[in-house]
Amino acid sequence: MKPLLFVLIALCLISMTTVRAAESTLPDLAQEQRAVALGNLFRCVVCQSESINDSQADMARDLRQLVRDKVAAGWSDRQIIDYVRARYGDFILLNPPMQVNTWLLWGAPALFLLIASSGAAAFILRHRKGRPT
Amino acid sequence: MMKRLPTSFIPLLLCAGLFAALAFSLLRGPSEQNKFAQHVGEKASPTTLPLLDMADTHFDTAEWIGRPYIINFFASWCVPCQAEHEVLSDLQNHLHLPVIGIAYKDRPESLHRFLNKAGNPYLAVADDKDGHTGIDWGLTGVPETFVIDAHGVIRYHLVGPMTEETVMDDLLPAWKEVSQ
Repeated sequence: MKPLLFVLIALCLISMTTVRAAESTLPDLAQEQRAVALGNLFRCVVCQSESINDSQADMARDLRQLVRDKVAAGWSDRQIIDYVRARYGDFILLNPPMQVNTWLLWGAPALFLLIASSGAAAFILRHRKGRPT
Repeated sequence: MMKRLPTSFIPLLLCAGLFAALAFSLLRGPSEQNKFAQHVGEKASPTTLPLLDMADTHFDTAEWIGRPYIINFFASWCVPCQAEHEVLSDLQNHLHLPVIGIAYKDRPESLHRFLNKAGNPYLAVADDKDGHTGIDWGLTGVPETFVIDAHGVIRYHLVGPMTEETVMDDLLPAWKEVSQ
């Protein structure tokens, strides 16, 4: 049983390395890092809960390639984000942009803080007043 | 004691309000499975692609300004496309709509085999070999179908395979509107 397991694991490792090797990275390290950082921002259009960097899907690989091409062509991060967003909409961004329909999402933490602190303040005030002087 | 009760209820009320607002936007939000941009009402992405089997001829969206048409992204390797193909062929036997097929990341020989076997319901088949046109159109997979009006504006976008139901309920009404 054991040798078979070894063979299976070895085969898995081989197939994984070939998958990785099939994708060409940018020769310029700084550019490649930018492409990877951008890839982390975009949602895979197939798997949806993963970034395009995490996804094995074909379309995610195409988008990674597109990002690399644009980075190599000298596009700014902003230009690349706008380009992808124009085609796939806000949902492509894993981090939702701050805008009219997302203010509640972004404002909720502050709102919760306000609620909690006002609750705490009310509690403290009540107990202070109730205390005999 | 009774006088102070309202103040201590404020946080609870705020929480309830926030919960209600979040629940409302969650339930009211895009109910469709696909939350990516649907592009309905936007100009179709300007596209020039070589036609399958016609080396020097191209499909060009610019040439279609003035006429409504339908774009169907498909691939011979895509299983849902095969089911859709029957529906589309059936539709075309009756109506002969100007449907341009865009073969997404496919090989000519596979396309030939597919179209010879299943029939060719397309007015023309354009070849998006590297899938760049797919990305330009905001494609999330194959098949996807777009109805384009005479001004080049997308009027209907279907993600996933056409069924008899979607054809009758959505595609044909959309086509009727743009072809008036």
